[in-house]
This record gives sequence, C-alpha cells and structure tokens, in this order.
Amino acid sequence: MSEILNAISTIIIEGRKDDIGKLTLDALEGGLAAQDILNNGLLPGMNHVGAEFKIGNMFVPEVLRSARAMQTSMDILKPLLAEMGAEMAGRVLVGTVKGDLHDIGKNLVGMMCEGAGFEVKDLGKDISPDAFVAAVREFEPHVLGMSGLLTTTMRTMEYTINALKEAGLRDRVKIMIGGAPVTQNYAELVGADGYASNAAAAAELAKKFTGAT
Amino acid sequence: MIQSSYVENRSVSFRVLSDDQIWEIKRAAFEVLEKVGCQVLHKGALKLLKEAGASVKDDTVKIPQYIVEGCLRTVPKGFTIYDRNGNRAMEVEGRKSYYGTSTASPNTRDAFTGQVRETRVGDIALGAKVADALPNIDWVMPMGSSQDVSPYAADVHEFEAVVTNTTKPIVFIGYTPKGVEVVFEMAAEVVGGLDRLRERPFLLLYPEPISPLVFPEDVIDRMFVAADLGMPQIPGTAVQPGATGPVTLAGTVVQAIAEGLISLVLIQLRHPGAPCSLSVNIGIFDMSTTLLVQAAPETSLGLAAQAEVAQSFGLPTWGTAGAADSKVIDAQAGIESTFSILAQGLAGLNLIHDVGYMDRGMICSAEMLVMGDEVIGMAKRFIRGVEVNADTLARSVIEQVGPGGHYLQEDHTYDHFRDQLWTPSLMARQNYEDWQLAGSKDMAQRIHEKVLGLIENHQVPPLPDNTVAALAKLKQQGEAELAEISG
Repeated sequence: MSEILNAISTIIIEGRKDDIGKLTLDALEGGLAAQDILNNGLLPGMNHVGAEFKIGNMFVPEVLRSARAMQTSMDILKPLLAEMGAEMAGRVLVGTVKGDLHDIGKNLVGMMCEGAGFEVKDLGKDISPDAFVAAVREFEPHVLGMSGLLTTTMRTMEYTINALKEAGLRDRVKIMIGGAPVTQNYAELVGADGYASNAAAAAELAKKFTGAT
Repeated sequence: MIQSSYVENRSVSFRVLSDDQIWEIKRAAFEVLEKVGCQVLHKGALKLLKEAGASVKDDTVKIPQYIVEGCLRTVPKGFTIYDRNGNRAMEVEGRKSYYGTSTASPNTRDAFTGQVRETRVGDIALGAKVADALPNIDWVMPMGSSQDVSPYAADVHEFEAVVTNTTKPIVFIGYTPKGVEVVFEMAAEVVGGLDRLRERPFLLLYPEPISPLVFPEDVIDRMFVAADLGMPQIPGTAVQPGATGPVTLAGTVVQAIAEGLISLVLIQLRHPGAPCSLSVNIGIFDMSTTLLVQAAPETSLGLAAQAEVAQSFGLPTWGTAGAADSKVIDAQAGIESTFSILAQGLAGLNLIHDVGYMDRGMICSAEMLVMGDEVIGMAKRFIRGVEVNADTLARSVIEQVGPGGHYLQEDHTYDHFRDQLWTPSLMARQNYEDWQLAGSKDMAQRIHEKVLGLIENHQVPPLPDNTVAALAKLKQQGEAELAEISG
C-alpha cells in the first residue's frame, strides 16, 4: 500500500492535478484512511516541493501546480476527515488593507499556505478593520495575514489589531503582516505577532504559529 | 566637395521589434481595450468615459479604438521640460534619452557610513545635491520615501528637500491627490506663479495604476490634478511578467500598451492636450524568491520593446536603468547597473529612471548614483557612435604620419582626443604598482571618496530667501491640510 502513497507523493511533486483525483479514490477504495493519505501521501510530497523550492530547484509556478494538485485531493478527503473528527488543518485569513488594491503578494501567500495544508480564506483588497474583525469572528482563523504596499495606508494594520483587541478577539488569532514597506520593527510597533518578507516565509510563519512543521 | 545623401553619423543603431511585430502588439492592445477592458474606480472618470462613448458596466470599462485614436490626436507628441531657472533642459520626445535618479525606497544606504537604515528627509536632500553635481544625471526624483515624517506629509517635505538642493528637473510620485496639489503650489512659488510653471514646467508627476488593468480612485485623482493644470505626467503601471502580466514579454508589452493607453485616454478626456507619456515599468517577479527584482535583463528588453511601440505612436517613453538587486556596492551592483544603463540608452527611452537603486529598489544610494553616472558616461560615448567624414577619416593625417610614425604630436590628435576618448573619473587605469602606492583602493572605496568630495564641495545655487520662506510656509500649511484629510 505504500506504493500508492508513494505514487500520490510523486503526483503531488509533479503537479499533476488531473491524475490525483483518481489515485486518491483508488487509495480510499484500497482501504487507506483519509488521514493516512494526507499525512503519508500528500504532505510528504508537498514537503519535498517546499524543500526543493527553498534551495532553488523548483520555482513558484511549479510549486503552485503542486499545491493545486494537493487541493484537488483535499477536496475529496475533507468531508471524510471531518467525519472522522480529524484535526483539520489550520485556517489562515488574508487580505490587503483598506485603501490599497495591490494584491499579488497576498495572493501568493494564500496559495502557498494552501500548499502547506492550510484552509485559506482570501478577503481580497481594500479591507477595513471592521471587515477584518467580522471575518475573524466568522471564519475563526488561527492566523490572520495583512498585506499592504502603500505607506499611506499601512497604519490601518494597527487600527485592525486594535479593533480586534476591542472586539475581544485579539488572543484568538496570530497576526502576521507583510508588504514592501513593512518591516519586523513595524510589526513589533503595531503589535503584530510576526512579519514575513516573502510569500514562502509567510507560509512558514503560519506553520510555526500553528505548531505544524 | 559635396556628397549627396550621405549620413555622417547614424549613432549606434539598435532595434528589438520589426514593424510587423509592432503592428501585432498594437492590434492586440486595442483588442484588450475593446474586449477585456479595465477597472476604473473613479466616478468622475467613469462619467467621462461613458460620455466619450466607452462601454461602462459598473466599474468595468471597455474602450473602442476610435476613442483612443481621438485621444492620440490631442495628446502632444512630446514636451519640453525646463530646469528650476527656466532654462531649456530636456526635450522629452523621440529617442532622446535622459537619465534620472531612483526614488521611493523605505531604506537608504548612508552616504557617509555605508549603513543601511530607514530613509529620512535629510537623505532626500543629500541625494538631490549629489544628483545636481553629476554631469550625466539629467533629472531628479526624491531618492527615497521618508520614514521620519508622516506618510501623508512626505510629498511636501520631499519636494522641499529636492527643489532646494538641485536646479535640475524633478519627477515626483505624489502620495496623495492633495499632496500633489500642494507640491504644484510650491513649484509655482519657486518660478513665480502657475502660468510660469505651465509655460516652463520643471517638474512632472508620476502616477502609478495597478496591473493588470486596475485604475484606483486616488491614482486617477492625482492624474486629474496634473491634467487640470496642464502639467506633464508619466503615468505608468508596474507589470510583473508571470505575476501581474503575461510571462511572455510580448504579452507583457501588449498589456503595458493597453494600460498606458487607458491612462492617456483618461488624461486626454479630462483635459485635451495635457502632456503625458505612454509609459510602463516592467519589474520581474523572481520565481525563486517570490520578490520583485529590478535588475533582470528582461526588464531592459521588455521596456525596449514597449518603447518601440510607443515611439511608433510618436509618444514619449519612460525607462528603468542603473538599478541593482545587490545589497552592497560590489561586482553584482556594477554588472546590474551597467547592463541596464547601456541597454536602455540603446533603446532610446526618453526618461530613464532608477539610477541609484540597490536591493531591488528597497535602498537608494548616493554612491550607487555616482557609479551610475560614470557608467552613463561610457554608454553615452558608445551610443554617440562613429562619425565618418573627411576630418575623422584622417586620410591626410595618415599620409603625413606615414609607416612607422606616430600620432601623439599631431594637431589632429590634439584637436580631437578629448572628444573621442572618454575620460573616466572612477576607473583604475594606472599600473599595478601605482595603484598600490595610491592605497590599493577598490571601486567601492573610490566611489565613496568621490561622493564625499561632491557632498563637501558642490554648491547648489540657493533659492532666494523669500522663496525658501514661502516654501516652508506652504509646506507647513500643506502638512496641516494633509493631516486633517488623513484624519
């Protein structure tokens, strides 16, 4: 049976999203548990992709392909995992702050977090503190990521953090911020839990926050 | 002697695209405008576009070619920029190239200590002064984004810092529409009124919409401020192939042209005849680090292609050169800045910015600017080309000197050597022992010494006291107004 799990890992690494659905079903039919397929088929594949990406052997479009393949398999596994009461992956909420419409970095963070096994909700751009608070309340993320490129709207990150405090939600979520003018210093200044300078680092930070490795 | 149909100097020739390729790109760009459209997040702009005949559904606008053609008729095919004293400085048209500084970096490499730290208004002032001193830097942007003032007020602080430290023309980004208004007021104060400023503009606005095809409200507001005043502007998205534009450069150029034409249409509909360029930035999204980089060869290539399309419309262009992704003044910085400076000069872009950038645009450096200035000197010499005429063919001189003779004492050599042989100011050309005797200094050290010398010795003609006072007052008032608006 480890043969099929290896095959699943390989298909993840090769980013073959059209093939993985069938293989996932085959694995389930063969008697493998959804958790087993996730932990010993999908995740080893994505971990290998992550390692290769880090040393420069794989590139973003390839990583995203692998992440897409993983999502395709997860779509099949999720209801089964939920049924078993299995520990769901962490939830990550991302958005670009109010007044700012730049989102390519945030988009990539979302995709890389998905690739790392998180459930990601992307609120989009121009998100007010109130909208972030409402989304945290509703989606109950483990991690909130805020992105901004403009110096003139960066400070709404601080407003959002304060708004979460006021709403009594600050302790329920780890907050990371990013974007070209954002720095570690700024993150500390505004009371965020962390800062990431690129999308891969953001996904790593999300994993660190949720204790996943 | 007469010699009909003879070209003495064609300067160095360079082409990226054929006429057919330019045609294809234009066709594709017009189709994007007509079928894909754009997102315009500005009620006034939507109204203008609708009235002009564009199809407007919510905030999606599709623009038929005939509207663009109408705007291409009203837009000036170039404009002249003056310096702070009202002297003619740059003819922004055709393939005339002028190099300018970098801008907007959150960090600065301290010119004295080499430390990389947050940008302050003082760095903007120093950068402008160094730019003023350098012969091959033609125009100036605030060399950084000041972190020691409120982001809303940065415009007015940075303009004051630049205009008091250089007489060269200025390009500024404008953080907010109100900020842009105040900067234009301050500029008018410098030259004695808005009419004078319009007649002899010494500054240009640079508003940046978002790729792909998104035109935010505050960006259009800024465009409209400049357009209403008839002040020239360089609207330009920043396309990242593979991320915010097609990864294939032809596709990126198609999108860039479409986006540039939309900006042009907005400006012309608002104020027919307002000067603007057909411009873009191409930054490479690095597929390994997931970061935007400034020094890839594709940037120079893509911009060269875009320029040829823009030139085929007869419009001014905007380029990027002299920027490094390197974190220090090293071989990488030298390679990166030189490659783009030569490539962009060959491509004939009009206003070529970013000399002085390091660390992918996160750092501005006066030393990088000094090195860039040197490289531009080399590029200028190269691109100037080879003049072929009776004097330069030197037939009589060769005859005179004869086999085994020498040219060192010839009048011909005396008359022409300065113009023919580029004089470096930073290159170590002496022999090894002499280089050792002079201290065995590498390029970074020599650059450092030169920049310190420029800072110490260069004198910028000061503005009259009452102008300086008036600027300070406008700055304070502007800051107060901006603080109120920003809340």
